[in-house]
Amino acid sequence: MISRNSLQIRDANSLPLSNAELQQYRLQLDRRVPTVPPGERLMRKRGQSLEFREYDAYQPGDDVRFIDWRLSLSRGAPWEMWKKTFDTEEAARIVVSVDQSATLDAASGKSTIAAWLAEAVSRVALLGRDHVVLHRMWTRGEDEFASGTDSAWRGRLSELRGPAAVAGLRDQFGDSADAGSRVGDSTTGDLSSVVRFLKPGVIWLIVSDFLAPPECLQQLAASVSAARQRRAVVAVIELDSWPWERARIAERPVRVAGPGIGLDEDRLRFDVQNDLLERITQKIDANRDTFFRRVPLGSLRSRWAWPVGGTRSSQLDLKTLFRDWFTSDSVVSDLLIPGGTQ
Amino acid sequence: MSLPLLAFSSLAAMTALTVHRMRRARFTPVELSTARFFLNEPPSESQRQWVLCPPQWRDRSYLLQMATLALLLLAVAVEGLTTPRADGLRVEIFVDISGSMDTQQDGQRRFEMAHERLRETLDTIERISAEPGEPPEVRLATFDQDVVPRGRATSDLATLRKLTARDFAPRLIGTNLAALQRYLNRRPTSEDDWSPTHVVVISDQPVPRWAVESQDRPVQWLDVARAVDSHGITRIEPKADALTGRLNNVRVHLRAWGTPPANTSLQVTGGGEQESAAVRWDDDGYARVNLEDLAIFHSQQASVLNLELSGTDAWPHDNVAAVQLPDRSELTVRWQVTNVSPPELAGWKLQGPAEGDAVSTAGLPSLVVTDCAGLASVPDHVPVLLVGSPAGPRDLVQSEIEAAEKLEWFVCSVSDDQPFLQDVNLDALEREPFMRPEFVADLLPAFHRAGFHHGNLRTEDVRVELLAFPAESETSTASSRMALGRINSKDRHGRLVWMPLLPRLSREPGAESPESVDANEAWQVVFLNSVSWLLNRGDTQLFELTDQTHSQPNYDAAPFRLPLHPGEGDTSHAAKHQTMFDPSLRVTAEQPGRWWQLPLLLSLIVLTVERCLVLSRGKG
Repeated sequence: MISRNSLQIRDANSLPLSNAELQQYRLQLDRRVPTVPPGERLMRKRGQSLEFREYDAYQPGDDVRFIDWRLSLSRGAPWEMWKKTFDTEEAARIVVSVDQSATLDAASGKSTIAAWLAEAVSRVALLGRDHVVLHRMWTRGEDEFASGTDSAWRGRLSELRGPAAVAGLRDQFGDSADAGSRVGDSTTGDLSSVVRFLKPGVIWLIVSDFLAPPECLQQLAASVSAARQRRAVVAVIELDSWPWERARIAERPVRVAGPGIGLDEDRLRFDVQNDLLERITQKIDANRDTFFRRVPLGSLRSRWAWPVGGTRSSQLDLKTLFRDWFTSDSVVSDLLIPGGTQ
Repeated sequence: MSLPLLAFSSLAAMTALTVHRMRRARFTPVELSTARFFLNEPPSESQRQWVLCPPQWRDRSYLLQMATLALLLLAVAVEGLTTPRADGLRVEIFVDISGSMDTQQDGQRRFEMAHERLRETLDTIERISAEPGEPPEVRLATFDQDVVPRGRATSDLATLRKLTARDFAPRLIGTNLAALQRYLNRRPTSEDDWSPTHVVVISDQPVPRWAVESQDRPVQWLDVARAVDSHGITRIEPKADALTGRLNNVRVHLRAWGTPPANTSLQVTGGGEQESAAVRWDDDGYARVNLEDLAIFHSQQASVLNLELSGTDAWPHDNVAAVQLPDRSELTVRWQVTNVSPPELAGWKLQGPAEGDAVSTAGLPSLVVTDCAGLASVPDHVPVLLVGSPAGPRDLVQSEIEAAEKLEWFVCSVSDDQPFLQDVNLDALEREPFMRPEFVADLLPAFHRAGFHHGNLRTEDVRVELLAFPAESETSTASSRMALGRINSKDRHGRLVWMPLLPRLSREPGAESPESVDANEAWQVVFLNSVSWLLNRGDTQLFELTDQTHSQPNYDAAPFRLPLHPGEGDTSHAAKHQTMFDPSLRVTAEQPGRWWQLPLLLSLIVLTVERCLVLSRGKG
């Protein structure tokens, strides 16, 4: 399902990278798809498509369907015939799945970082005449109240094509704080809609904090395995704010609130000690391994870890952090190569 | 809201605000994206949710909030003190409906003037009820000798407005302001817990001191009386023979208030005859008429003399009266003959148990005169005159009388030589209204019936009660014994002596003055009169005038007389008129002011400053 519902993005949270900076990158396809069989590999070359390229003299044996009869009658000798030539279908496609779980809405600003990352990658792709499919992962579908059951949860998709779509790109992202539209803890996200886009050679970039319930992560791992079987390229960028949150609550009495906690949950009062923090760390790692143990990604996995300094979200310079992560991250450098638009 | 409550509220609010500002949550709320991983962790064992920190006096927001609250409460307090309110106003209006309110003055009755005052009072109350607040409640009551509430308290003044002057009519003669004072000072009962905050009294009586000095609640006394000329009969005084009870004269006292009318006369009618006596007023407005000067008084035909004072005046009800004269067929007793025993003088042959012979009763009613020892031999249903009981009535009642149900009447004396009579002033044998409080309370319900009379003799140390029972009285046995027992039980000295009342007795013309008789003979006269009464030639009423319920002579009323209420018909007192219902009654401040607006404005300014500081701090 292609949804045109857009999110509003605030000017204050605009992308810290300019178009000029992003135009230095383009999607790197050749290195990532070495085993694509002939006929399935996407290349930038002349061919047959719906996009007009130029006129050329007709040679015997050419397809007579491409003769431009009006031009042939008005120009040159009567025996000279002119034909139309078209570009070959050579655009690449990248699917960007951004985790929309409520855990990204916490004070750490993970949702902003995720939106910036998706927008930056999308801009690079669209400026390079590639196609972009934005996938808001683990959010409610339009029929969310149709059945009232967990099966009503599904993702949302937006497909963007060509450089002209860059202007409307920002409408596709935002730091929506609508926690009610997030995936619940006991919900299994339905990723079947995005799998159909994962054809051979398609790049699938997953941006998440991997704090979703194990059922969701298992579903995601299954989808990733299916995509890799279809020879899609899967890359994961993990947003990890736990070190920063751990530093906030260390050695002080706190009342914990956040996603997955009921409004009437009044017993989460802790005199935080190290042993408690260690147990929580182990729980988080175990939850994360639900995905990564099933899907080893190698170099196509990176973790953006929040710095420990600064216990308030207002003290986090998210723009600086994003610029540092984006320019130095290994996954980003694997997907995007310097070279600019052709 | 009362001032103490306001003070308490202000202190409570400031204390609460201070505690609130000192309170800090012990657990700092932290939002974590990993919150759900804490769900199964054991929470803190400490149940303390809050901790108190030292007050932060440098907190300008706190200080400004306190100042705002103080100014707000100050505004409320000032507003409550200076603004008139009708909240909780309960007015009870008392209208005098005594007989004097029927007095004519300025061409109308005082009732009509009282009705005008009532209407003006309702106007004022209605003007108050038009203001915001709880509507006033009004209750109407009337009073004369007693206070009679008329209906319940109501806020519907239209109902009270429907009353007219004709709805108020005299009920009793006389105004008892003490009863009104007792009613106002009564403690509210559970059934009627409605207590007025203001009292309005409409009367023709001068305002008493207790109403002027009333501290608990203001009493607005509206005197509708004006001095007008009036005259009337104020007292009727019988002059009877001290010993025999013979009525020698009836003296009628008259009084004129204001200018005495000229050519006033007292018309006396009775027995088909009529006679007029001229009234001569003295300089003070007093006059007396002796009926013995009139031939009609000595006429044997007239048993009732109707008196009527000529001329019209402001209050006509005291211009008429009636005198009922005693029966003229009197018993003649030669009491000064010492050789003849009194019973024989009465036509009896005394034959007690000492002689052992029966009494000759030929032509005479059956009567046995005996002492306690002879009671047993008296046949049933025979009237008995008991004499010579040395033990007194208490022993008599508790022993012999209770055993002898047949005993109908009794006379007790302390001894045969009657020492208690030696110092007795026989003038006291004049009949007097028996108004002793304990007797009225205890015995009147039992003995208050026609034909029952009282009198008393008093000396310095001996009191002789004379009590008579009618022959046909149904209370002659059981009730009389009960009464005697109660009276003697209350007499701490045990010196009560009972004997039949001296009914009527006349001496032979030319006899000696009763003052010269010795005590022993006097007792014999008393004894003979008792015998005479027992022969059912009993007493007759001397006179009666009016009673509480009838301003006109009433021949069927109780025989004891009541004096005219002093001042009833007295129209001479100078009226002290007051203004109508003063609106200042309902406020505690003399001038309602607007000073409460100033602290309110200041509180708003302080609150605005405080909010601006908070907002600017939040932005920073």
